[in-house]
Amino acid sequence: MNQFYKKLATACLLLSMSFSILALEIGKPAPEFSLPNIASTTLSSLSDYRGQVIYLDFWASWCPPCRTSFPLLEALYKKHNKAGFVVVAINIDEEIEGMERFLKLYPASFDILRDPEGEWADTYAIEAMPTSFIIDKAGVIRHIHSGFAKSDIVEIETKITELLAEGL
Amino acid sequence: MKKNKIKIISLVLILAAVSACTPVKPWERGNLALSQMALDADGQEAAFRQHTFYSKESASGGYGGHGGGCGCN
Amino acid sequence: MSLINRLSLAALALPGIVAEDAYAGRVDETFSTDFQYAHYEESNDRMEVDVFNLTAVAPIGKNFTASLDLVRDTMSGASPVLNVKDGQGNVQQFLSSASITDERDALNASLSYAFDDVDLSIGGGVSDENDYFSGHVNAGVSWALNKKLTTLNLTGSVAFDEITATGRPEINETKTSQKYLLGVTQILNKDSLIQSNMTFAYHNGYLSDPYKRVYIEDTATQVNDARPGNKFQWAWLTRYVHHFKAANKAALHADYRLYIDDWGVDAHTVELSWFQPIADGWQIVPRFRYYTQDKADFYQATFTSSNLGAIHSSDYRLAGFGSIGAGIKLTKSFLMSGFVKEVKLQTAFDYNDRKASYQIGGDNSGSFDDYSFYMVTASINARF
Repeated sequence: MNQFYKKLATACLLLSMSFSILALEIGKPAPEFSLPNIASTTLSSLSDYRGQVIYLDFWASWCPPCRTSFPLLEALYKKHNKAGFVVVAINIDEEIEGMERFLKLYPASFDILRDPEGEWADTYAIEAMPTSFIIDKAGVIRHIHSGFAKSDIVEIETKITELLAEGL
Repeated sequence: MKKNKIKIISLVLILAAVSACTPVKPWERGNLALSQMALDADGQEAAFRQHTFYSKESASGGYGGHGGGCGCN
Repeated sequence: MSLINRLSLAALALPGIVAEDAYAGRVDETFSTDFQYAHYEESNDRMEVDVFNLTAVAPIGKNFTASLDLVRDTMSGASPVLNVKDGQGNVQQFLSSASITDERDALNASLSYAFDDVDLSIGGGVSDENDYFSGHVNAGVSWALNKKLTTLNLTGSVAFDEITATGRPEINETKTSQKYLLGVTQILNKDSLIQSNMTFAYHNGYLSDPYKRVYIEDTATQVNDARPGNKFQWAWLTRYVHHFKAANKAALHADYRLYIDDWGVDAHTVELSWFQPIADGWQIVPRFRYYTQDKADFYQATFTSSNLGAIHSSDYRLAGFGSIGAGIKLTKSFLMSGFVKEVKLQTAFDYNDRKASYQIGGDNSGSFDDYSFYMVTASINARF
């Protein structure tokens, strides 16, 4: 009986192992995404934000830490936007209704893009939900953050202000 | 005889499970995160039901453990 | 008042059963409070129980979660004491006279710490009523592997009980129990998951029911219920959950549990539930349950001087029987973004029919023991 059980665990472990092709590291340039923006009919690309400090967040309506993060990111965005800080939140909900219901409860004035197929989540090698990348003015990844807890916003703000102080 | 029955049941369960096994990416867990997909969405009710059945029947045990859901953080 | 019925609601170390969310690990940073009222009632003016349960869960810092659980049970009504044979040789059940209300209070607390992929928890609790006291401690570890698609669970608990009996001052006994769980939860694909757990329980000490007796036919006398001084129980539960997107995101839950103990009882349990979302935030959940068990080796409805032995019981819980149950649950969830994040209202009704004839492979000789019961629950859950 134990043998069968071990075989199940091994089979599923092997089948589920995935290998990310692109090694995303701090110091490497962020992949150039291009995704529809929910506020307009045009596409938004990473290069649109060149020269600004970007908090790139992969989120979903079904992810509880995302509910914690949105009001905090909205406040951070409003505070530092004039200094050249943007939040770009890529939503990976399969269905748009889920995202819309979430935004009714947690409205955001920063850019929200749609990646329902998860194509860019894959390219950015997301390991947990949510995952965020802090990208500097030159488009280089400077910080990768998996998950979200309320207290994380302090560390995020510190990093943002550091990068805003850097020249291009 | 009983041991053979157990082996057959477990083999069927395992084959059914393994045949359905596909890797799920972290951003594809939306359906699994739904409350109706949780193993014990209502802990108090589960405790009451199990108490009741344990008091009226001989069998008990088996319940417990985490897993499934959105896998966040 | 049956001790076994009390044991039912007495401290059952249930490691891991706190008001759980649908998520693995310490994902939620919300506080939650849950209050449930439950009512249990048997047929034929037998036992009736009211249960009040309050649970509170609080996150502490970034990694700790603490929970507190309070229970108050109030029980009343008659229960079977022994079986006698009437003039025609038919077995009749004899019940205790409906007694005064009995109360039981229980408190459980737990603390857990969430690492990246590992969750550790410890807990303990006490349960107290006038003739039964139980204290327990438990510990558990949960390990998420394989990009959190696989979760391994290991828990252990130890309980120490003190037993007395109203009307039997000579009863001043103890019992110790150990229970272990080893299990795996595996995500199969985007729409389904499976959990399979094995539990092992060892009990030592006074395991009889001091309020029950057995009847000796040839001498027309009664002696006290006498069970072995130890018991080993093994259970294997497998739970499967499948999502049906086309049915408005419904979910099917199918459980099967195999149970074997060394008192000779084998049991099978099957439970099916269908979670159907309807309209905004509403869910309706019909469910079905089937249970069957063998009789214990030392169980007999009545005994004779020759087959009495040192170990004997006529407790209906140890007889051969089956039970068929069905129920329905309704829940409504309100999601908000203010101080209160979610309020959920839930109510459920279940009916169970226990009959000797429902047993698979039974000899249908215990219909005098047949009865039915219903359960009603209502609860309010809030997250902050």
